[in-house]
Amino acid sequence: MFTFGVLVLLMFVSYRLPGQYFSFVPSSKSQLNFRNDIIESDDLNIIRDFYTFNGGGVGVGDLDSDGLLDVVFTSTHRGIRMFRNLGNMRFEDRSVASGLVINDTLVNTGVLVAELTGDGLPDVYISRRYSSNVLFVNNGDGTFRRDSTSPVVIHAYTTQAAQIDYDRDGDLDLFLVNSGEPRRQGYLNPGINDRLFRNDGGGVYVDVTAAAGIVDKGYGLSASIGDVNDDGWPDIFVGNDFEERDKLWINQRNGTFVNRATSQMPHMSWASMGSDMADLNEDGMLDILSLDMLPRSNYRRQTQLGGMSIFGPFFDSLQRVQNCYFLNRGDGQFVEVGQMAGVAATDWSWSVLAGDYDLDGDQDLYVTNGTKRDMGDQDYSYNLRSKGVSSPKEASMAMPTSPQKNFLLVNEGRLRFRSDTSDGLTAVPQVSNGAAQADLDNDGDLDIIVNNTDAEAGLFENRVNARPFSVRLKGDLSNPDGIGARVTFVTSKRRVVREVYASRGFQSTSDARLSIGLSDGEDIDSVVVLWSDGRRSVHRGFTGTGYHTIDRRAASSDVAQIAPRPLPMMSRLADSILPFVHRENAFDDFKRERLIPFRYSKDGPRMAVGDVNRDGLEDVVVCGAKHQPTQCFVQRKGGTFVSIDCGLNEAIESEDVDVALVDIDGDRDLDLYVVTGGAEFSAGDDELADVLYLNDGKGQFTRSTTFDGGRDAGSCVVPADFDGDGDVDLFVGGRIVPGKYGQPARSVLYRNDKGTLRDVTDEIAKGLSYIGMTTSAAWVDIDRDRDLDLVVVGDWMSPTIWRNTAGRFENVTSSLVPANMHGMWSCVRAADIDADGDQDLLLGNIGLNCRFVPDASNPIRCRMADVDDNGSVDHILSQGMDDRDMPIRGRFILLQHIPTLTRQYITFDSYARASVSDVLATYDTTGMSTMLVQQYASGVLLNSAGRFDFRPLPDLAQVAPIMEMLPQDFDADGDVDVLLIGNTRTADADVIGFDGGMGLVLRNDGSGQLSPLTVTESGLVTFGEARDVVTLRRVDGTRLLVVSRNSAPAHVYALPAGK
Amino acid sequence: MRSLRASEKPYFRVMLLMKRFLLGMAVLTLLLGRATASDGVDGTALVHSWNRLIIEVIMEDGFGPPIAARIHAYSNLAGYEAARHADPAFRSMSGMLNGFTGVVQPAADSVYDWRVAMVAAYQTSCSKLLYRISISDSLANVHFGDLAKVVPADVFQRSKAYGISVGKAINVYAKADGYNRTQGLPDYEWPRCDSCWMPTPPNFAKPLSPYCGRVRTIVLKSASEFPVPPSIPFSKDRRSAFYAAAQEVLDISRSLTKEQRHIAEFWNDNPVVTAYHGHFIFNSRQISPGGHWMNIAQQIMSSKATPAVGCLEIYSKLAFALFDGFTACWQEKFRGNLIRPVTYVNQYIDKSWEPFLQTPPFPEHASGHSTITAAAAEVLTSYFGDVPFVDSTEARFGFGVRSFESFRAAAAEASISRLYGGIHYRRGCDAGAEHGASIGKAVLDRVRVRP
Repeated sequence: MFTFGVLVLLMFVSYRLPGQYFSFVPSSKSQLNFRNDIIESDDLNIIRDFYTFNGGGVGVGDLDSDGLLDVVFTSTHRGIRMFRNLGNMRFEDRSVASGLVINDTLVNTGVLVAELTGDGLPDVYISRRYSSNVLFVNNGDGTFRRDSTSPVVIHAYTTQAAQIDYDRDGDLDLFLVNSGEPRRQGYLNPGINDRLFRNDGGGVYVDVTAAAGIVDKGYGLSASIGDVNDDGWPDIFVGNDFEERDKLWINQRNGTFVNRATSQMPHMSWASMGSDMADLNEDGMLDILSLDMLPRSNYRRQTQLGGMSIFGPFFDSLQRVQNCYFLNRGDGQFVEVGQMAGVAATDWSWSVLAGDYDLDGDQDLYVTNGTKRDMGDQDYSYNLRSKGVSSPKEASMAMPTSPQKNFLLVNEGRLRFRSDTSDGLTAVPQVSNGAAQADLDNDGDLDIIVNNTDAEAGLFENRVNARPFSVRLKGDLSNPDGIGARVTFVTSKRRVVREVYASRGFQSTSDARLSIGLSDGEDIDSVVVLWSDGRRSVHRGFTGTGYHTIDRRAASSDVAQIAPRPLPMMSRLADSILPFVHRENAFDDFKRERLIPFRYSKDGPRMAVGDVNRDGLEDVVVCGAKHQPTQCFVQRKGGTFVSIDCGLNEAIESEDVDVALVDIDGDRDLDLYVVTGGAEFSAGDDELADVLYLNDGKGQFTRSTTFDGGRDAGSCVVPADFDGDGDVDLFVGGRIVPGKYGQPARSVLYRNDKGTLRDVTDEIAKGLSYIGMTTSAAWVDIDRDRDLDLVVVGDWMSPTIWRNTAGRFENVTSSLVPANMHGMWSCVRAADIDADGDQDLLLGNIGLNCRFVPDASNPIRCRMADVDDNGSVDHILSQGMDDRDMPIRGRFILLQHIPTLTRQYITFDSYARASVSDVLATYDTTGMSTMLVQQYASGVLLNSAGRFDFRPLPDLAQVAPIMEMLPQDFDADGDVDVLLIGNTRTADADVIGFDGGMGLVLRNDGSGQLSPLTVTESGLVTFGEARDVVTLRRVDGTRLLVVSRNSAPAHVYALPAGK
Repeated sequence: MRSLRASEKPYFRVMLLMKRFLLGMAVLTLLLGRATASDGVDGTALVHSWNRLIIEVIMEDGFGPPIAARIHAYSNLAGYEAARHADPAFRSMSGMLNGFTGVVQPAADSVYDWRVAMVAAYQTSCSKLLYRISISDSLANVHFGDLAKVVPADVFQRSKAYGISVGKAINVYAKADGYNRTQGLPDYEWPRCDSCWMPTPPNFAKPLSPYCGRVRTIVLKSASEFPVPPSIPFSKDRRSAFYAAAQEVLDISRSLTKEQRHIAEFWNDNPVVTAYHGHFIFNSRQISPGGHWMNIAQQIMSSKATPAVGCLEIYSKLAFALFDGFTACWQEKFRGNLIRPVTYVNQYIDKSWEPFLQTPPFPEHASGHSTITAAAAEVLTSYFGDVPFVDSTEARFGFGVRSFESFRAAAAEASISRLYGGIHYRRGCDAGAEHGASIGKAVLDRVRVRP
């Protein structure tokens, strides 16, 4: 707990204490009296169009060239309105006078205020659902005319338009993100393809969608633009609602884009809505926020989702019901850290904007929230008859409204955001949709205008007291605001990277100017601008306050060259070097035990390295799942690996989860011990018997007929000579008893008696055999007495330490390991991390990027008993919330397993209020057992004189479960660095997966301080369910790093890079 | 008929009020206003009100058809066993039902009020069968309150205690049928093959009650006692009989008359229909096929003024026929696992075709509605003969009123409605009807409570 205390302290000193930044400006003062009233009718309702309640947008721009930003609102079916900014937060309605009028009642969506015709004046582009988009061209005198002939005036169910200089010719091209007509129920219906128009100057646009390779027929709700891979060319993120995946269009620098969403992002939101792109952690790389609709409070989560997930007919394991925070780790490769950062759940969210609202230097987030009709209300949906409604239309009309408070998520650093519920911006529950941030009073901070459904628009004046440094980019007539420029502020303390884009969030256009907050004593050294066409300008010597104009004419005439990057630590090689593809068999543990938190049928593949065929070269043995043999990949002279028939090809019925290459029979070749596991069998099945294969000396394995392995599902085999007699003994971990989750499986110590493995567990290590649901173990001399002690870790257990005293083992955990260390430990490795001469323990856990994270006072519990006496064990998962132990799983799934509970909890509302003791009140709980966890952080148990202190690994190592760690001196500086891999998609249907990571290298500074490397530094990018990592020596002396992955090809890296 | 409909509307008003816990005695008097008994509380009306309540709560709770039939069966058995003593001509069903050895007998020298006992038995059994038991408890309290005014206190208490003991005995009997255990089984893994059922659009829901065929039947010796006429052998061949059968479903679906549409909707009886509109999911509830026939029975018994114990007998035997019909049919459905028309047609004939009705989530052969409908028609015909009747069950769902020459004619229409709805092949309807008639006859044959 010592470490947690330190963390809390750090949090408090690292940000300024919050104050009331925003104050509401009532329309009586501002005259900004716009309302988006959505009046349902026979033509406009949720049955006719499920996007009826998406709401309107907000666009800002200086439409009359008076230096103040004016505002345009879209209304769902009552046209648009324009308000002229009179200064001092006062506005006047100039819609009719300016000609910015739409008289029909068709649905409007987004508004883009931008220069579109080449005359340097902002025009207005309104996106529409059931008719052509509308282009209003600025006449230059404060009035506008409709241009119906422009090629960009098309009907495409457009949600919003965004500008991008994708060809870097200096003028701005136009990207339209489109949705589609209402879908036929239950069928996959493609929407309308997004469109890209190339600007050929002077308002001449050419549709280049097909030529650019843009193919996306999803129901697009937002697009965010920026250079995510730092190559100087803008890329596009598109958020798609429903099944169609989001897109990450990487600019190929030749007029085309390639979608890299699934190869550069670990997963994505399911019902993606608004999005924004910004450098949120100040590492100079653009991150992406994408919204969904996961509720924040337990009550809302239980009543809105009810335990229902997207696990259905169109299930896609890459999509999640949560906001995603894609953290750029370099080269446009993203990890997803939404849960850990505290931004994953903002309920029915529409717009997200990143801005430095408190002007403390880093960017905060503003998220709008609410829906006119609470479609997610499960009680409403499932109990409609009680309310006397019979038709869907009637039902939709009678549905309650769900106003919600908007979110101000304050950036606290260290990848954490705090929801500030005290600010004026978040005070009133409303249904809020599009929003814009803009400095309406030119005082250098960001004010906010939000378009509300059935209420007046919100105007919030920012009154933060701080030191803004503000710039306005001045480009040429075709791009007067410098859209697409990357601006780097170099201050006396740091570098701040921003990119200039105005079409952001949801259906809205924000201020294109930039302000950063300076701390006390911080000064601007220079501002470096990389303009959209690739030219560079550097600006210095700023004096005075207010907006500094940065003129493009100062830019060099040459396109700036991006400096080549140094080689990373390692480089990915073609998979064909070691062509292993793991094929997991289809098995769904949740059909057998609905309420367990994880599946145990996807545990492999692990690997073992050794010279199988005694040709002097290291080979690899890789585990196969059920229906796939474990395979020997033998190293050839060229340093490639070929799968040979080494005698294992017939053994395909078992799920092999771990292997060890060791000489068991003392004949100086490597024999093979195979641990079998998986949940697809039953305890006692022959498929669960571990197998010992003996090597004939030439790399051919024959199954030992004398060895009879246990019949529980195993986890690991760890060889060592624990009795010091010169041969190799084994620890074999037990994982689960299939179908009986929670029961410990049997772990075994095998003593090697002249080639015979003898189970001596109960003789020499009392209590070890049923220690728990183990995952991993390590032999390590913890007390420097020159014999090997045993460390065993697993699910729902503390790391346990067994001290070896003259060949007998005693559990000494309680005296050596801190309290409250029960975790979901997935691996343990020994290394001297702090270079003090003794062995420390590296421990992989599930990590902190989880919806539910336990601690000592709020542990996560799993209670187990067949409470309803129907023959199946009921697993009740819970966590303390506000001092009550509340069920984690939803009503749907719990009642499916315990149907009689329905009698107690007719409604989702009543269930959402119930604690575990309420739930179990009427049941017989005799014989109920409980497991618990208090620690989800991965970390190091630092050895100090035989006792251990726990130190969590850095935050970036907590992004995903760590499945394996490799302590090695990767940078050859004499200390032990740590490479870790992980992710899993075995979680229950609510969560689906913990797979936000991509692997990570932590560099040791020599004193035990571990710092994460970026992708550009390490070269390590392995998404998916990585299960094991090994290094081996190639014939040419270089090394290979092999990462095995479940249900996927193995990844191979060269160490060092370039070899 | 007129008096029944007159009582329908106030009844539903009562239902709503009960849900809000605002039930007043004045409304109750309205409900039971037709009372004919000398003391003002008509036992027959109580029987019918319990059956209406059960139908309503089943809809609220959203039980699937087989489980709904199980609720009808055991609740009415409890009611019958508790109240049969009101007419000495009626025997216990002990020995006539699988595993049923009767209930505790009332004390020979004591006086009972069989209405009180019956209400207590209904309430006790409903407390284990239904989910929204606050509604059944409310109805029981209303009935008890009314009866307490006209029944001496000692008789009332004795009768209530007796009724509770009967209800508990029936609960033990019901639990032993194995249904409870089927809920503890792993999720059903449906086989995959060309001819196999697979989840159907638009919900692609998991199969409904896949283990119901394993539950003990009440009257049939076993779920497989009567063979189900086989389906047409599966084939993908365009010249095959199976293809032709699917083509027939498609052809009929494309040329549905107004009358055929009405018939399909009238007999749809799909308890939960889910419609998706983006993020808005609408779950509408309807009466189940069994509930539809329980309601038809109520209409005919009311019009014929069937006395209370007779009503209990008919409700019970009808419910047994429904329950055994579903159990036997479900066993065959999950044994044969035949592909639904929507899946076959979309795959081999017309990939964009949608049937007129939403396909319920279980295999095709044979039609469950055809099965239970034929069984129900046999039961009702044996009591009332081939009489014309008017069915207004569906009026409140917006599907109007239909008149029929006889119960068997209604059954035939219900059966073919599944073909019109595009959810069954003609063979599946015919096979179900044939199977169901055997089941109905067996129930009549084996459960004889009057000499």
